[in-house]
Amino acid sequence: MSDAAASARNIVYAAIAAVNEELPWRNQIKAEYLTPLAGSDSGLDSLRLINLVVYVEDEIERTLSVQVSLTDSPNLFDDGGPLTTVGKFIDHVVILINNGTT
Amino acid sequence: MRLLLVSDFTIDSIAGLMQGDGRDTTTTMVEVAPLGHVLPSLLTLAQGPKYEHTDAVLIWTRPETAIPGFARFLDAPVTLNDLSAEVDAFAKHVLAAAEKVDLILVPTWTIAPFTRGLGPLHMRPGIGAGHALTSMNLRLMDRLAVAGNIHVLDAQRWLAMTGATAVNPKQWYMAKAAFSNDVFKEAVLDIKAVLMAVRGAARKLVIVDLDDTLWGGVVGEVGVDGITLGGHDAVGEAFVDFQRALKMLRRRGVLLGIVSKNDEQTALKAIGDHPEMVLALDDFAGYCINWEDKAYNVAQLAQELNLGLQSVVFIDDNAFMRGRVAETLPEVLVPQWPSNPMQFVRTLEDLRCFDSVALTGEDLSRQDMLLDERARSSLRKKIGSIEDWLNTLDLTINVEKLTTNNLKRAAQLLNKTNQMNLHTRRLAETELEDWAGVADHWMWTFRVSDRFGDSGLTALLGIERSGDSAEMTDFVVSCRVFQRGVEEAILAHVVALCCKMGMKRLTAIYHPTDKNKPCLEFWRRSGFSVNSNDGYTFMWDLSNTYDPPAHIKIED
Repeated sequence: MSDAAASARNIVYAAIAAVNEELPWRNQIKAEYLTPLAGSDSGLDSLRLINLVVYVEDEIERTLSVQVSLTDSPNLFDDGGPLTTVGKFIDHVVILINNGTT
Repeated sequence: MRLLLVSDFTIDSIAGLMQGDGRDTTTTMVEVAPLGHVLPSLLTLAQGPKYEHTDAVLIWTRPETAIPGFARFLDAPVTLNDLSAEVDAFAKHVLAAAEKVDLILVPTWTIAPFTRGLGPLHMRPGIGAGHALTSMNLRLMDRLAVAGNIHVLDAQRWLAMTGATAVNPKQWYMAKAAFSNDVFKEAVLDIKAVLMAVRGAARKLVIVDLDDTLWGGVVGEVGVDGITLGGHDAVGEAFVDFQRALKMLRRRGVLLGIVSKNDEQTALKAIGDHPEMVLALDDFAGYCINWEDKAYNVAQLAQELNLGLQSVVFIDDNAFMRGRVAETLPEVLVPQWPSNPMQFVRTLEDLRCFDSVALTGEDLSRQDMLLDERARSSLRKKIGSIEDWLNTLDLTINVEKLTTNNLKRAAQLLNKTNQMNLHTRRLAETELEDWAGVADHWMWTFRVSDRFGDSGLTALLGIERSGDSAEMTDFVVSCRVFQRGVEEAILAHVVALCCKMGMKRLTAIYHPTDKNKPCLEFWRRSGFSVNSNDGYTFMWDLSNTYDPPAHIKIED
């Protein structure tokens, strides 16, 4: 696993842990690659999804000193987009980290 | 408990944070009013039955939306009078809602910490938004202070604790969340502390170790002059500040105790003689300074002070001792304690387990009452027989009906008493007042005093008449005064009153809880006949008198 992939995974998993704190324990989601994030199968409502994305964006800036654009990405919340599952989101974050400006 | 969240920004995160990991039972249900519907929600609360099962309401608004004049102020100055009028109107709606629910929490208005406004003119009267906001908050606090069930919470502190990330513009623009989750987490800790206080679950006794907890060093090793306390020493100053913080708790009515493995004479000499000691021996309601097991001593001290272990916090620098007490007495709160004394005050503040929603005279003089109790115990040991001792006390009970003057304390007693409590009925002040105002309902309060001092309003009795019978709705006696004949004297009083009103029988039905077994034991020896089918229904035939204990004088 590349450094960017490991960082992306750690940051996304930490974001899931942070969002889970806002959820009743029965509704908390698992930090696993196949866990759905957006769409009807997801346990997250739109507020929690936004919080997750904001957390990831801020953590990338804070820990890697890399500026990425997640929150203003036009296709982020589309069906089949990067937020379909945790795994797809991590892959998307890896690309952003690699293309990000430092 | 059911909590309703009313806000003009997205506040849903608080609902999840309130419920935590599912083990927390402080809040049973959190409901969120429609986003931005602050005024309609307040009107609904004040008018209708929609939220009749709501116990508590959090009303958290942004100043720009709650007070339209403030939004205009950010563009052009608005007079303080105009802003005050709008604050008064907002407060009026909150006050109206407060008549229908037990508890309302209103965080202060804040603006984003990065807002500099007019820079050096930000706090200037007439033109500075900072000054206007401060004035609005003061006005709001003054207006809401008339209702005892409204509490204004310091939201600015939550932002300060969170720091630069308190407000995240991305979360505002994308989700209309005015604050970051870290602010919400701080808020939730304070909200839970208030709810605990309302439920009477606040801790009442702090038991501290001495060596390396109240002062630095082991007094038995280095002597009184060798301990680190005060002086021109950073660590010494930290110990002094920690003692001051404990003294503040004592002034709020929290009791202090000592459990320490030490030679008693040496330890007491340090407390009495060291010039930098802030706490005096009289600040402590009790102490166990010996070489016994600390868990045993903690339990012993709590029992001596008539407090359940769930009321106790134990503070010790030694992790082994903390572990021993925590594992042996799981109801005792044993916080992780920092090794650096400079962190002691902050750690104590962070416990948030001593909050009270009202400070009564009884709270403030609890320590004095305990000192009186210590004198009583000393005399009890000297005299021997309990009957002989009771005869020396000159016990007097003053009976009063429930009035606006004693309502606050009566509600506090009703909601905090666990052990000698027949029904463990919990009612807010307004509910209690409403209940007592109904025809055929009576509520009496009892003040107990003796030659050692006044124990204050320490008992309640409520009855409800139905035909020629009366049933007790509340029989509540503070642990400060029970087992002195007070319970029997109260029964004698109510039996006589019911007789006078022409009733035929008086019934008391015991409702069991985890904590009110002492109440059942009292009723079993009360002389009332018990229904053998359930064992919990006690009855008195009012054709018989109930003799009060000879050592107690009852004054109406």
